[in-house]
This record gives sequence, C-alpha cells and structure tokens, in this order.
Amino acid sequence: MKYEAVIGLEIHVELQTRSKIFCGCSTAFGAEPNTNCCPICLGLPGTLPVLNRRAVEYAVKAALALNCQVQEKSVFARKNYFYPDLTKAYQISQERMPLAWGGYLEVDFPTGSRRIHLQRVHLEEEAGKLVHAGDSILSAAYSLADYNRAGLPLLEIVTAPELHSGQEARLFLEELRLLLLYTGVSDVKMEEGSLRCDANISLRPAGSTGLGVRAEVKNLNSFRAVEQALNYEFERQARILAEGGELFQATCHWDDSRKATVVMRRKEEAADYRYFPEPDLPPLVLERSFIEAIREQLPELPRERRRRLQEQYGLSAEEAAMLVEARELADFFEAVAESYRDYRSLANWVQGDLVYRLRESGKSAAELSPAMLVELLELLDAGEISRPVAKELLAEMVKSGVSPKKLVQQRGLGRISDRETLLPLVEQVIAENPDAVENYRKGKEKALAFLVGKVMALTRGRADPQELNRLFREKL
Amino acid sequence: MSVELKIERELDGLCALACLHLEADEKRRMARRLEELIKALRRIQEVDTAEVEPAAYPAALPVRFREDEVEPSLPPEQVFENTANRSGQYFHVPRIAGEEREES
Amino acid sequence: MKLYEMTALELSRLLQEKEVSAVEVARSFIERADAVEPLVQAYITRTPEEALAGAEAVDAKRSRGEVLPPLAGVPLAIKDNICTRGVRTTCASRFLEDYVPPGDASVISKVRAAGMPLLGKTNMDEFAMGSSTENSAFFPTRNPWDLSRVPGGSSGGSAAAVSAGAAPLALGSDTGGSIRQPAAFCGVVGLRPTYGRVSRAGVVALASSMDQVGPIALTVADAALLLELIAGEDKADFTTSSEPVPSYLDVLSQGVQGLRVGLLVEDGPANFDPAVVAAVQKAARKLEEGGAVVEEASLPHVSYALEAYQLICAAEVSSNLGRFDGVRYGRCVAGENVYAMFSRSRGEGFGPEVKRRLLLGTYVLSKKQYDAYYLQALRVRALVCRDYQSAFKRFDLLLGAVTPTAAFKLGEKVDDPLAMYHADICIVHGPLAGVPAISVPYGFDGDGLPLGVQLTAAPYREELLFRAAHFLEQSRGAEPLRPQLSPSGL
Repeated sequence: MKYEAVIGLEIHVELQTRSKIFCGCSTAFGAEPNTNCCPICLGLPGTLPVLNRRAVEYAVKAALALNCQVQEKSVFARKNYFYPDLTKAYQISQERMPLAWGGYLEVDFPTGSRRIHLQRVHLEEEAGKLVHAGDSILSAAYSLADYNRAGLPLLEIVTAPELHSGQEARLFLEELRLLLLYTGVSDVKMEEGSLRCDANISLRPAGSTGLGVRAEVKNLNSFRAVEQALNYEFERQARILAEGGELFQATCHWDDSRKATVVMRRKEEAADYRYFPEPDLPPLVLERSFIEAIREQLPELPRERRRRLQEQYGLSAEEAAMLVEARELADFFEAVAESYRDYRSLANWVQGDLVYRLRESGKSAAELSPAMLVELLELLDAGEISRPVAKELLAEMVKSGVSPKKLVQQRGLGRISDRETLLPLVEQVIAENPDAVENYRKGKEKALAFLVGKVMALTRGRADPQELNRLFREKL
Repeated sequence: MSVELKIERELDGLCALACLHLEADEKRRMARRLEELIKALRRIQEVDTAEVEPAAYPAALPVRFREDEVEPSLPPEQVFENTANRSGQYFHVPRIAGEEREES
Repeated sequence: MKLYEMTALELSRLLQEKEVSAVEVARSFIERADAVEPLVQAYITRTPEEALAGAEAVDAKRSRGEVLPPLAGVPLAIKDNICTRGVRTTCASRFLEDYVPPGDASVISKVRAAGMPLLGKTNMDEFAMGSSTENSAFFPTRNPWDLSRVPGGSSGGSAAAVSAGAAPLALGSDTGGSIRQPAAFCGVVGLRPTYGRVSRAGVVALASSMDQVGPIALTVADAALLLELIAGEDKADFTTSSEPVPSYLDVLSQGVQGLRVGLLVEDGPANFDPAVVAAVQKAARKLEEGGAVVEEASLPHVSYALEAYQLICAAEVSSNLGRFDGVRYGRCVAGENVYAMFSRSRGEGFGPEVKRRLLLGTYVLSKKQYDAYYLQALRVRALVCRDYQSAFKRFDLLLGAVTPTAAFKLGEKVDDPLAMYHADICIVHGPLAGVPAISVPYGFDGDGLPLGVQLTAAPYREELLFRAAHFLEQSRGAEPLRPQLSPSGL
C-alpha cells in the first residue's frame, strides 16, 4: 500500500525585543550564564510579571503577516509543571484564549503553490537552558541551569496537519523564516535557537482522509534536520505498517549524528498542566486601533515582493526568488534601480559578479553604496571604462568601499584614446608581429583584430579599440 | 465512603503533580483530611450557575505595558545569595533522567 | 504617658514639633518589645539596629530643617511575607527560614522613603494560610488580651505587636480576612484595601487574585495615615489601579450623616456568639444616631462564598508555591534525581496546612475536577461580585460581624481545619469581589475579650470606611483599647 504523510508543525520563535517579556533583563545572546537574571525571571518569592509592550506588538505584527484573526481579548494562563529549567513551576502562556486564531502561509512547493493553514498563534515565555553533564539528558549525572533564556518572549505558531513530506515541511519553514525576517520580529536563527520546531507526523493510505497514529518529533535543530527526520519517520512508520505492525503514539528524539529518530517515551496520557488564568496579568485587551496601527506598519512581505520584482523589473521567477531570499541584496538591487534603468544589465551584474564578490569578501549588500554601482555601470555604459576594468573595479569597490570614479582617477584606469599615447604602441606591435602584418596586408581582416588585441593587452584593456583600428589602418 | 477510597488512590498522583513527598503516616492523615475537605466543598455544586460567566479577576483592570527597555540585572553574588546549589556560574541540579518522576 | 502607648498620629505630632526625637520613639518601642516579646512572641525577626539607624537618619534630616512626611520617625512592624532587602523574609515557613530577599517590596520602598523605622518582621501562619498564627513553623503568637488565646491570623504577629505596644503601626496582608480577623481578636483596627489599591510587588503570594496589603493600627486615623502612604499605582504590579489616592485623614471627621448603611442579615446565624450579634446591632444603632440610614441588606450568594474562596485560594496556592523547589533559594534536600529533590525539599519545608492546600489546589485544577470545582468557584465568585454590585446601588456601606466569636483558645481549632475555615465566614466574601473592608474594635464578649465590627464599601471608597469606623470609634470613647498586659505581673 502507498502511504501519505500528514505533518503538522509547532514552531517557537524568539521575538527580538531588547528586554525579556515580563522583566527588564537583557535578551542579548551569548552572555555569561545567569547574568541576565533578576528577581522576576529567577522566580523569587513576591515577584510579578510586567508585560513588555514590544513583545505584544511583534506578536500582533507576526500574526497579521500570517493572515490570522488577532483577538481583541486574549488571556494569559499558567501552565503548571515542574522542571529545573522553569523558575516558577509554571510557564505563562495563552492556552484557551490565544492572541490569534487561524491564518495561513502560502508556500511554493514543487507540486505548486498551496496555503498551509495555521491553528493558532500565541505569546508565551521561554524557559531557561540546561547543560547536561554527559552525552545526553538520559546519561547525565547532573545538569547545570542557566536562566538567561528564562523569560525571553516566544511566539508559538501551530499549523494544521497539511504538510505531506519532509521537503514540504522544510519549504514551509523557509518561507516562514523569511516572512518573520521581513516583518522584523525575530532574527530567526535556528542555530542560536531563536527558531525551533517540533513536528507531528502520522501516516495514512494515500488518497484517504483519516488520521493515523501520531509521533511527535523533537530536537530538530536545522531545516535540513526537519526534512531528514520527517523522511526517516515516514519510512519507519511505513515499514511498520507494511509489516503489519502496530504504531503507538510516541515522542521521538532526532539524533542528528546517527540520522535516526529515537523513541523517547510512549505517550499514554497527556500531562495535566492544570491551566488557569494568570491572576497577575489582566486579560490582554487590545483596541482595534492598536491592531490596525500595527497592520499599517507591516512591510511588503516576501510573496508580494517576488511578484513585484518580476513585474517591475522584468525579472524571472528564479531571479526574484533569489533576490528576496537575500533581503539585503534585493534592497540593494532596488536602491540601484531607482537611478539606473537598465534592469536587465543590473540584474546580471547583481546575480553574477556582485554576489560572487560579496561572498568572497564576507560582506553584506547592506554595507555597499548603491550610488557607487550606479556610477560604475554608467562609466561602463558611457564607454569610459571597459568591461574587464568594470569587473576589476567592482571587486575593488566591494573590498575597499572606494568609489569607481576615484579608483579610475587614482589608478589611471580610464580609456586611452589619444594618438600620442597609442601611436608608439601601435608601431611597437607592428614591429614585433611581422607575420600578422603580412597577413593583414594579404587581406585577412582577422589579423587586424589580433594586432588590436596585442595593444589592448599592453594597456591592460584600457585602449580604445576603435581608435586602434583607425591607427592600424593608417599605418599599414 | 467511595470518596475516601478515591482520594487515597489519587493521592500518589496528586503528590507527583504537586512534587510533594509525604511520609507514610502523613499520607494516611492527608487522605482523610482531603476527603473531609472535598466532601464539604462539594456543596458549591448546589449553586445554579448555568448562565454565569466565570470571574477569574475581582475587577476589570485596564491593560498595561512596560516599555521595552533594558534594566540592570542582579549581580552574580545576589543571584546565588540564597542557594547552596551554585556551581561556577550555574545552578547545579541532580540527574533529570528522562521524564520519570518520583512516586511518593 | 509612655511613648509606646501613643497613637501614630500623636507620635507624628510630637515628632514634627520636635518634642521627641525619632530615636527616642524607636527606643521606646524596642524596649517595650524587649519586655513583652517573651510573652506575646509577635516577631519572627527583630531589627532594632536597623530601626535605630532609620530613626537617626530621620532626626538628622529634621535637624537640618527638612520637611518630612507625617509618618517620618514613626516605627513600623512588617508581616514576614513582605520582602525586606537584607532582612530575612521567612513567611513563617521552614522552607524560607534563611531566605534574604535582594530587594524591598514596593510598599517597603514607600515606608522607607517616608522615614518609617522598621522594627522587624512579624509572625504569621505559614505562607499566610491560617486564622490563628498557630500554623507558623516557628512558634505561635499569643493574644495580648489573654495569653492562652490566639491573636488570630494570618497577620497575628502584626495585630499582637500593635495591641501589645510593641509597634505603633504594622503592615499585614489580607487574602481572606487575614488583617481584619486578627485586628478584631486583638482589639485593634485593620483595613483590607480594595484589590488593586496597594501594590503586591514583593509580597509573597498566597492567592494572587485576592491578596492585599493593608494597615493594622490602634486607631482608625492611624490606619488612614498608613494607607494613604502605601496606596497607589505601581508599575511593578499590573493589578494596581491608577485611581487617585485621596487624603483620608481630611475626611475622617465628616461623620455619617446621610450615609446609607446596609446591615447584613447573613451575619448572625445561630452559632454566632450573642455578644457579637449585639455588638453589630449596637453599632447599627450608633450609626443611626449619627444620621445614617440603616436598613437590612442581603448578599444572597455569600453562603457559598466560603467554598468558593477555599477553592480559588487553594488553586492559586498550588501554583504560587510551585517555585519553592529548592534550586535557586530556600530549603534544599538532596535526592537521587531532580524530582526526588523537589519533592523532599517541599515535603520537609512545608507544614501540614500548606501541604493540604497544595494538594487540594492540585486536585481542583486537575483536568477531571476543573469544571466541577475551580470553574464553578469562579462562577460563584461572579455571583458574589454581582451581589455586591447591587448592594452598593442601594448602600454606601455594609455593616456586619468580623468573626462569629472573640479570640479562641490556642489549640482549640488547630486540629479541626473545617472549624477553623468556618470561623472566616464573614470575611472571605469581600475578597472574592475585591471590595475594601475595615474591622474596628467595638465592644467585648462575656470574657472581656475585644470584638470587632466590619464595614465594607464599594471599590476605592475606603474614605467611607474610615469615616464610619472613626465615628464608631469616637462613639465608643476616643481612647484606643489596651489589654492589661503587664509583663512584671505575669
């Protein structure tokens, strides 16, 4: 039997506020352990949460960008459980009344574009970090707790089970990452843990509509891991089903070094978190105007931008996608395009030499001056520099940030077209290449090109080829 | 009578959820007390509340925010002032060992 | 008259007129406490050096001609669930026996800034769970009126300290009567402010949706003075209100002419001491004589308030006390794994009443019981709120009893939690609705023990409570009640 995977994702995104969600401690990544901690995030007795405005604004912004229905009233609740990374034995979250319901993200899959629907988006607080002594939590004799992370603002996004392969899950996450990056609410760095994902996967006979027995896959630390783990789980479950075995609901751990999932525990009964409304925080009541003001601040989102880049500049879908993917590059492209109208040529330069040079120098397009590229392309178009010189100048411009005009002046890279400079070179080449001269005189036009090329080489491409043509004809 | 039995059976589960260790004799007394209490509290179910919205808060309070500004954190000597579990810059916690819990 | 026998208002005047120094005042209370503490045991931690240092600072400022707040130099005792920087804050629990907070509660910042020297931290029921201060993990406090009796609770230490002259003023906390009941038992004034009137930041939580800090004082005027100082919006507590704080002292003497007073018919069932019922009726007559209009009032759902209160309180307690796991502070008992460590630390650190409420709260919030108990309690709470709202359409104030009897004997109810809970029947419904209420001494029972009556007002109408309570106090005779506590004679 052929099976189809049914996958839903639960994504946690750290919002890039300056301070934590319920206290004024810094959210800076990489601080010494337990230095971004205060009585509130350490859960000392008597402390109360004080809600960060920007965390709410960012959450609303993300929810609007995801087409959710942002609720005018949401309620913080306490999710009660004991764990050493949790300083109050409860996590403040939004369980029954989340910030937003519904929504979707449209994603281009190889099979075509599809809307992946969301169930909910809500705000909650992050827990601390445990460092385990030993290889894993299972074998660790003890653990060390660092509460710097405790209380970072988290956005939880839960999708409907509408993804059907590891690849689709990865593509969805990539599109989500880009969207969040564009809205500016998170730096979405999976390697620093600011974007995390757990996946639910079940199998069903292809074409049917029911839902099978679900496994929850955790410890997915990269987009690649998401894809590989889900593909692995698909194969594992399909094999069990094919052999007539029975699946049970379980939590699995992706072991990235072994490229396999490990079943952590069978889930018999869901944990009892004893949710109840957080008495220390009044319900989060947002005025319509507050929500609408944030909607107005929404930037152009990746999907719209791809479409606009194609229409406005005549780019191909692939070119637009490449630019949008690297947001600074797209920004740079558009900044240059404001005063440089040959979009085709610009697109070629940006995708080709510019991307190469940026990668080479480890710089971002945001560090470049768009005016300089305009200058460079205009020098080229005006014939004041040759194409090889333009390429050389671009490399130098990226490396040192010096303007092309200044480089041309400093290094004398301008075009050489004066007779006094060129004539001695023409005479030298005629003297050194009697065979070519002979051939030209026999009527072989190609020989002229050879001779011109020799002078070009001597001037490192700076000589004006038309002037050279004229001088050779005159001399021969 | 059935209540008592039920609470006694449930007590271990409750203790696990509440992370509370009780000695054996404490447990017996506690089961009896809880049973009395819960029996008395069951009276609240007499009230007809079909049309009533639950009130988690004593009053409607306006929503308030803190501006997103970084304030000083505690110096390490204060972070660790009240604990014997300091290990360098960390809090030391014993073996977690999966998600198993003490059955007390 | 000794300084320790004076009211805060009298002390404030003497200090402002420079007839006494703050150090003299502080020393008087410290010496009085030295004398009575062996009998009463109102304090868990005394801080005489800190009090004297605070007093010296006030004297220095005053001698430089600085204008100081009215309570500058008037010492204060603080319930031990209110965090004090550098002074251990135990909540009368073994778990927090050595806990030293890194900062002050917002109310402590206010009283320090106002120049009130801090005498120490007063005894209480563990984590404020109880009505007799017998649930203190350390020792019981005794009622200065009769040392064989309880001072009430949970703010028993604060009420006993004021009653015994070991402090002129004290801060208590009231979740389900913990200020008003000990005030009534000790013959002093206790006010529970409107929920949101006083900041809870830095106050170790019992039930967050009902906890309030309030004053315990010898007179209504003293209580008004202290509330005025500690009330107001706090950016560290989102449940505080921006409602302006009026000058309570200014309206104190306006009398009760024209006030509509509802006499609660629910208070006074058969098991109430007739002396309590008589005291309430006498207070009603006095208010009438003062020009108030007194009529019967009813809060139909308060007969279920005790259950609703206990359920909500236990639910919130079970969550609020989760943080006491032994990792970052507090008692830590080793265990073979982290859950064993949590469970043992809590098992050894908490007393029986705390454990009972923890487990009860865990039970009522659990998935299977949630709707039947917790959610039902929230619905009953909504009905109680509604009752109050309609009562305050007809009345400015509600008058009733504080407790069914005067102070009971030590040990009398400690093994009978249900009887103990039941004694709180008049004081738990107000907190469900967040309304302010005051307990003012009014009369004595057959054994010569003080009784209190309770006045309740609509949210943020504390000034009405002060006016009416002040009127009753004056009608009783202006002198504060003082127990015959004679250290030398005992």
